[in-house]
Amino acid sequence: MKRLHCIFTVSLLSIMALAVVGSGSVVAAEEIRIGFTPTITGTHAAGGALSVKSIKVALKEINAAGGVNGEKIDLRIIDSQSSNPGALASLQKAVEQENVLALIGCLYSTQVSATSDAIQKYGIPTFIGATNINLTKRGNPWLFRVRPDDSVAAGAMVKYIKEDTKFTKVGILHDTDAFGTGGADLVEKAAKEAGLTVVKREKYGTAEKEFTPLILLIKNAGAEILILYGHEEATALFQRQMRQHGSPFKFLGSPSAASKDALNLAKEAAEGIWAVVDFVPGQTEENKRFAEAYKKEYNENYDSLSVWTYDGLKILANAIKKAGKDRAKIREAILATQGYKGVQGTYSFTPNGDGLSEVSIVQIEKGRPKLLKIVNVGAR
Amino acid sequence: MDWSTNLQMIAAGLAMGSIYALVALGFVLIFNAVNVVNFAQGEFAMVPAFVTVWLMSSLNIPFALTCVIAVIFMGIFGIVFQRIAYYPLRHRSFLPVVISTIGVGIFLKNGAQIIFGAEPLSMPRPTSATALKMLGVFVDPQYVVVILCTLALLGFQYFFFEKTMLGKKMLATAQDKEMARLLGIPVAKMIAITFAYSSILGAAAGILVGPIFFVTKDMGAMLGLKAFCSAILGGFGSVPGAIMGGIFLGVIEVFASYYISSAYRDAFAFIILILVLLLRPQGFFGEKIAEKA
Repeated sequence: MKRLHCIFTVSLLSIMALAVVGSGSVVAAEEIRIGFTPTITGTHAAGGALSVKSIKVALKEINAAGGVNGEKIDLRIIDSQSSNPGALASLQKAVEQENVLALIGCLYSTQVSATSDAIQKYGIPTFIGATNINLTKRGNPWLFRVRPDDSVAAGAMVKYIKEDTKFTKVGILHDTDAFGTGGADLVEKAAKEAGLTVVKREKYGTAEKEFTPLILLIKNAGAEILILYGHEEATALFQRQMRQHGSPFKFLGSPSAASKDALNLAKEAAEGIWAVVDFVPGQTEENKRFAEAYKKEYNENYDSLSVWTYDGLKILANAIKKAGKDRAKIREAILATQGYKGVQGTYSFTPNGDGLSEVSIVQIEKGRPKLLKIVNVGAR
Repeated sequence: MDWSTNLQMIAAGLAMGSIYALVALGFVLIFNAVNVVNFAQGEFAMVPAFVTVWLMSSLNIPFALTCVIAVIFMGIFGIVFQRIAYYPLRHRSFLPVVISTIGVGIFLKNGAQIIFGAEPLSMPRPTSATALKMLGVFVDPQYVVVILCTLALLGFQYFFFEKTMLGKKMLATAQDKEMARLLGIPVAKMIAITFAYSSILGAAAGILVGPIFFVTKDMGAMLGLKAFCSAILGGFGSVPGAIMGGIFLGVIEVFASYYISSAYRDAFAFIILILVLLLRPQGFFGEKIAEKA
């Protein structure tokens, strides 16, 4: 029995030794292995499937153009199961089994939070699409965000009001959930810094139906423009009721105000309102080119929330082209990316790893968002 | 404290209150007839709202005809509901029936999500979307329709129960089933008709609020809960109580939201409910005796 135990220990040790040696040689020859951990199963399965479609357009383009420094990219797609344990497991699998050089990681803030420490421990460059502002501010040097974070939208709303309108009295209305409260906090902070007066800040429960008291409160406080941070249904209802009260103030909505769902619900009540969005489809040449390539590949329009994977893989490929297969050098090359014209906008990385500092202010015209201005809030 | 603001809120509160009152009335009628609380009452408003949206947007049926179809549909629906959720349990105590109605409510809610999807739908408006300007305040024309329809339904109900034989038989059944049976009134049939009528009230509520709000699977839960509160405020079992309770709740909510806190709007309904239960458990219009003899 003791002997068996001994044999077992020895073999276990040798396997571990092999594993250590194995992880030393990071990448197999003649190809560059990149991992991608979308949510293929679980709650966010639909979004996960769309993001796979987007990233595959980038993969095809890069490899068709001869790959990176003569080597093709081998994309390993590993399911992160729409959960935090799933995200962690997919990261471990990507690094320890698939031996990937770098990662296109998760879209959801909670998944990024759950994997952040492990990413730092592995020291692997990871692109993320999550927008919680704190993710890139916790001293993890390996996270690169390729979407505008939540403070960009808030900052851009305020900047637009300050620089492009004559309004100075701002009302803020928000949903009581984390999304609404968080967004409104950022808006209030930015507004105060910009010297705008917040005349009223009010909130409502997600299921609110009757906005008359809130409209009157904001109107009676003398707000010239209202910033609303809420979800689609309440946003659309509010717009309808605001219109019935004779639109006593201008309306500037969070990204959900310009979403397809909100516009379908609000219909003509949304005409002329302003909203902030990550980007407007077709606003740049690169965006139009991607839209065509995507349509040719899948015969459908691309999904706005998936485009970050396309931009992420492109930026990563460019960085590897310059830096070779050394993770630390790749990191430096990513941070050195300035003024890169991607599908979502122009990327200039901050030292924190935030790639995008711009969003678009749109006006709803005939049921579609029309670009008013791309607002860049600069490095934060 | 300017009067136009207050007037504006009274208008909104009256309209919301009328809707609560309609749904509360459904609660009360069924409670009086069979002595159980039908917790699927809110869903009785959600189902016809979906049916109406579907008929209007998918089959392009004009609004008036849609209303007729929805009312007939809900009449049948009420009878089927009664057969499934109440009838098999009619000799059991209060609790199994209540749980059975909760179960059917959950079933309806999720059924609606499977059939109509999770996204809210918007019901085409029979009235103009432009607000009427009355006495210096803006009033959604649909609010006026809601209030008028509620009044008309109340008038009809009064006439029906006081002046028609069928109504009197239903009242007799509600008051004392044994006695009604002895007098030759078909009690089971009367109960079925009560369910049908109360689900038609739900249809009215659903069709009336649909164009103001959006039609979602959760709309019934909100309506049902507020209406339940209204019925208790007024004194459970009392018809005028349910109506006054609903209107009181609608107006109080709007004012509390303006003068106290908008975030806790829903809490006020329940704070008032607790206060009433503590200070006047029989409600505004309730009888002093807790149980009917």
